[in-house]
Amino acid sequence: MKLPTKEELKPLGYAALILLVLAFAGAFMTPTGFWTMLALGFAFFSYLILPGYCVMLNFNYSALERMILGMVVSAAVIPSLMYGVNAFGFRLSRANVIIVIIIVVAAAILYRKAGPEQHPQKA
Amino acid sequence: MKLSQEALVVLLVVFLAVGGLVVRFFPFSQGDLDKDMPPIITSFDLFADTSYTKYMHDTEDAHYNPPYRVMGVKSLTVQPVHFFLFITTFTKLTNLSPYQTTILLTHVASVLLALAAFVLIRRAFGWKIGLLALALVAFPQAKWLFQIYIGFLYDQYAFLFVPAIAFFLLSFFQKELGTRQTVLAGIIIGFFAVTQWLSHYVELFLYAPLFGALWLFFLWKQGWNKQFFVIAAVVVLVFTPYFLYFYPITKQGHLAGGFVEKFQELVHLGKPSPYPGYWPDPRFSPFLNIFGALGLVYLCGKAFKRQWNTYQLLALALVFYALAIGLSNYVGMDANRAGRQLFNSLSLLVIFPAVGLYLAYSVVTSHRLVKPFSAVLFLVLIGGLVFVSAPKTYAELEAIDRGAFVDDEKWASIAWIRDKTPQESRVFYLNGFFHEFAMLGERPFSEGIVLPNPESMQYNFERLCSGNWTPVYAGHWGNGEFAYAAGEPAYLKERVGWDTFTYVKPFDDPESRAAFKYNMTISYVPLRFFDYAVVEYKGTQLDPCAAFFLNQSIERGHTIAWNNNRMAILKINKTARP
Repeated sequence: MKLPTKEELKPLGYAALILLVLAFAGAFMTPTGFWTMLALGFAFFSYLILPGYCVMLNFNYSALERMILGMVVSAAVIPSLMYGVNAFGFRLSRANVIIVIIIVVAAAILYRKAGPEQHPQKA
Repeated sequence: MKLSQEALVVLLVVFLAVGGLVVRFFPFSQGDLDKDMPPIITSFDLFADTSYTKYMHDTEDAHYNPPYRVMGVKSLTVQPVHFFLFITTFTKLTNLSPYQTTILLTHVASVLLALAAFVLIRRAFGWKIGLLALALVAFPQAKWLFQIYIGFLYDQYAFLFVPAIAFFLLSFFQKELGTRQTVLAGIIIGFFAVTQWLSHYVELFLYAPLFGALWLFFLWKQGWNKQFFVIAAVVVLVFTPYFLYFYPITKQGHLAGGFVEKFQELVHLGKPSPYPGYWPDPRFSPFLNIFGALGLVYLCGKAFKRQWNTYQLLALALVFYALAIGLSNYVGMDANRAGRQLFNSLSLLVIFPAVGLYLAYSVVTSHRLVKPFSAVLFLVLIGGLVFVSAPKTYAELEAIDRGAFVDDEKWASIAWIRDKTPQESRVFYLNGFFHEFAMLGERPFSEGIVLPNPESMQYNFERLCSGNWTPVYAGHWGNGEFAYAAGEPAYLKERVGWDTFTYVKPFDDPESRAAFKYNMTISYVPLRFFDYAVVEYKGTQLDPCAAFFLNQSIERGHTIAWNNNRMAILKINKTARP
């Protein structure tokens, strides 16, 4: 297991910040309510960005590649696992989606090999 | 300096991605995501997809058909479910309606597809060509939007995983991965394959041979290195349980006849395509065609001199493979499926004009007077591409929105049926938009999948327009899942073994069984069979006929339960005279 370093967490922080700003801007500039926009931002972050990015921390890729491919990984892994979970009789509830996301994030970090600092490749 | 370049790339990617999303999505919803209605309905598949997602979301179960798609019968779904599941589970984390998230996430998938192609091209050809390619594909014009006209929303989502698989394979072939990372890459590629298979099998059908051949090629080139078996073994390990679980189900319907028959249907060499011109070929402007030709000549020249590295070689292998599949419809491949591949590959095909534009940019900025301004010129080039294409894309989207099937007045009648009538109510839609109303109104008894069901609508209106009251109404009763069932006139009810199911005959209700012939043949049903009838009485050429129907119905004892300026809903009196 290897916990993410401060440097590795930075892109997640930036992404959260950008989503928060977009949620504010969206609520201000469109008829959509603020809480709807905030919930949408939360869903983008927790469903599409967080799990995939944590999985991609295992690869020596650049932050940009981790972020973009991480979203693709999330879009494949979370629904596939939910289909498997659902086949065993569990509902597609909000709580179960969050549990699966937490499991993926935890597994990605636990699987990560402890060792010398990896420097992501630059562009 | 390198750091600022990276920051510039991130900023531009965010700008392009968010901008692309806004341009693609907001004309439909007018930015109001709080609305509990579909932002746009233009095609059968659009509302069919939405209805699947909505039902999964409401029941929190991915295994059953919406009852309003299968005439009220509870049956296992034989559709590839993954795309609907993706939207359903995402929606659970928001307080949005699945009507909104279906279109929103389809557009997110199209932006992600552009970004996945971007990281692949950037790795192979550098960040400038990557960004040019992204700018060319992030703001596509009319042709890219064709999916919105005809549906097939899940295709972009399924194809998204093709460049992503290529990216992981590239790292693997370049030996950039340790053993642990190879195992993880195998798991990820396995999930990608599962996702393609469970959202639309065609992408897996068509691209598995390429990835299999590449794997074998590198296996041979690396002297049958043991590490190369790890990735394939892990992919198979992840994919197999999902395959074993889902294949027996989908084989009963969507993959009727199994793999062999589907493959024969897909590749029928020597026979004309059943859907010629169904998917338009993606075309660039004459301006971009010139640069595309330039890029192609340059890349061929590099190949001739054997200057391609592994990344470039494999990225281009994917592009040429996609081109070959797309163009194969001219030699007998199923135009529908092959055309989709070419269409979805647009995000990869832009590599040729991107290389050509980069060459022109390099020539211009090589001059010593221009060189100091090269960074500014690059931004102008990217910005120019965006600002030239974005307004056209936006205008095209608005045109699609104006042609949408469901508007506020129609939706009000759909919402009334959905929210104010009992779940099992039988609803008849006189004007022929049976499918749309049945699925969005979430009430069974819709017409069949044959759209737009002109024969039955013609029968009904010919009588009404001639001023003759008719006590019976025609319809092609029977629906999609049932129509797919291979030689078995039944729905899948329950799974009792790995490959065995119990079946349920459609129309369990004895009264409906007596009333309807199913399997998409016309049958004539008394009006009194239904609980409600929905009528569009204003705004079409059939206004006088609809008015005749309403007046005669009221005279016979039926009542108007709800109406607005365009739509009326009739409450059917079961004891009324015929």
